[in-house]
Amino acid sequence: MGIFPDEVILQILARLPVKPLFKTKTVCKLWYRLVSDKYFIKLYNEVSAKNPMVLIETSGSPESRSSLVCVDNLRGVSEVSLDFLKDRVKVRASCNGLLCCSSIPDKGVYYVCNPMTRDFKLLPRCRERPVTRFYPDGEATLVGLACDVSKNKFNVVLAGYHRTFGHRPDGTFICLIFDSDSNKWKKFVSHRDDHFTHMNKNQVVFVNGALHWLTGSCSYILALDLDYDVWRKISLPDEVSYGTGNRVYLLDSDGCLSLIQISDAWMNIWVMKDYEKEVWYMVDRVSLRCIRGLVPGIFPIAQTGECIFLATHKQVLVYHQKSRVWKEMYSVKNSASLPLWFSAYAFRSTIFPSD
Amino acid sequence: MLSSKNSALESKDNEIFEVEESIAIQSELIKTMATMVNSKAYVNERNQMGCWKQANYHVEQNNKIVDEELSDWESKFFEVDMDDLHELFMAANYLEIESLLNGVAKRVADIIKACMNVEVIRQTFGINNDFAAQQEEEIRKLNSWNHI
Repeated sequence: MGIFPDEVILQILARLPVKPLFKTKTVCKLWYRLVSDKYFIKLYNEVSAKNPMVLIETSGSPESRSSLVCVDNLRGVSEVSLDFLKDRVKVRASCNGLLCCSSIPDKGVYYVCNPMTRDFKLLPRCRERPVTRFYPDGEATLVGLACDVSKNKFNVVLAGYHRTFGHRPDGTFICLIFDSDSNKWKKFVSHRDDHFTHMNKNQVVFVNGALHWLTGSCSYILALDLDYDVWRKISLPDEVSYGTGNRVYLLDSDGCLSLIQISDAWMNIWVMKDYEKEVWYMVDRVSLRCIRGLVPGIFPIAQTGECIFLATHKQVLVYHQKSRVWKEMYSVKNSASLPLWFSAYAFRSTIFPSD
Repeated sequence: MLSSKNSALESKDNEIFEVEESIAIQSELIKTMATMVNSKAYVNERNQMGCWKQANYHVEQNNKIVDEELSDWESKFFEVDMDDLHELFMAANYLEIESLLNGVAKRVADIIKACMNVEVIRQTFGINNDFAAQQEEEIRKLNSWNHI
């Protein structure tokens, strides 16, 4: 066989899952060089950005606690283990291939890890007392992970209402931000009166250098600008704010903010194509007729411009926009478990250069 | 050449065959070379036929195929030996047909995935191991389950 040109080898290797990709490093010196190169890493991440995945924490027996179910558009269902953290953890946020997890036995201990490469970092403890003074239950209301793939860095945000010792809570909103470049935490304080539903907290979106959460009242999106440490509000399209009987969810769509609006019979998909001017476009209106029975308990979890993943109590479905086809990707038989949508996160496979 | 519905293309071994225009322009190269009088493609005839068959299939399907899903037809299309895959790849690369490039890359990636170990990968691709035994062991240890 004649040798493939380098560019062609890169295209082939960029389509391998992470584990077989590691093997190829020892095939020969050329492949070792190609795969370690920054250009290849960028290419790999671009190819995998087009392959959306969903990670689900299953509530099984305590032994399987550190195991996640991974539903992959291209490769089907597999298991991903977080046992390399050597701790019992709960996933709190997912962004661009990294997960932020909190320790279950040790409150205030956080990890950031890449479940595919099994790389991880135990974050330094935040010295501030507020970590345990978050109100109402000592846990941060909002946990956000901002993974900037091009700059090879990440931020973790813990934000919540604070109660000074011996006093009642007064609307003080503490925000703690960890920066992987400085390896330090910093804090700033503001006043807020937002509340967030369970899905609002799970579905934080990092685009354009800011973390975004939909608020419980669905009146606006709360955004934390990580460059300037300021909170700001982003309005929803009028049809969404004033539509009654709709459920609304915030997702990422190919690097843009996206709102999914679900009513009895329709799913409207909005994308903010112009972030500067905050202009929303309705990019699709999907009939839910063929999954009518599932609609009350269905939640969107991940999407790209081409397909959208949704989860119900026991199933994960995918809808392909071009072909207008629905497919079941995964289902559980055990009806005693928590609903799948309860701990389901959008995910994609990313690799980072070793430092 | 583009005034009629068909384009006439000549292969490396001087076979001339006609391809419908909507299919010919799947190739970025043909599109840009359309104004040139001579557009010889430097690919042998058998694999050029293969390229156009594949491009034809895509046009027929009106690009309804989700890019990443290899349909049954395409899976069978790519079940050829490594030499043919190599030729297809060179053709797709030169003619700049994206759907074909994608399909061949995915097929070869699947072949690598199916290889049990590194030695099998080397045999399949006819690659010589140019590592010293010690070097190879070092890399394997460093990257046994950690970051790239």
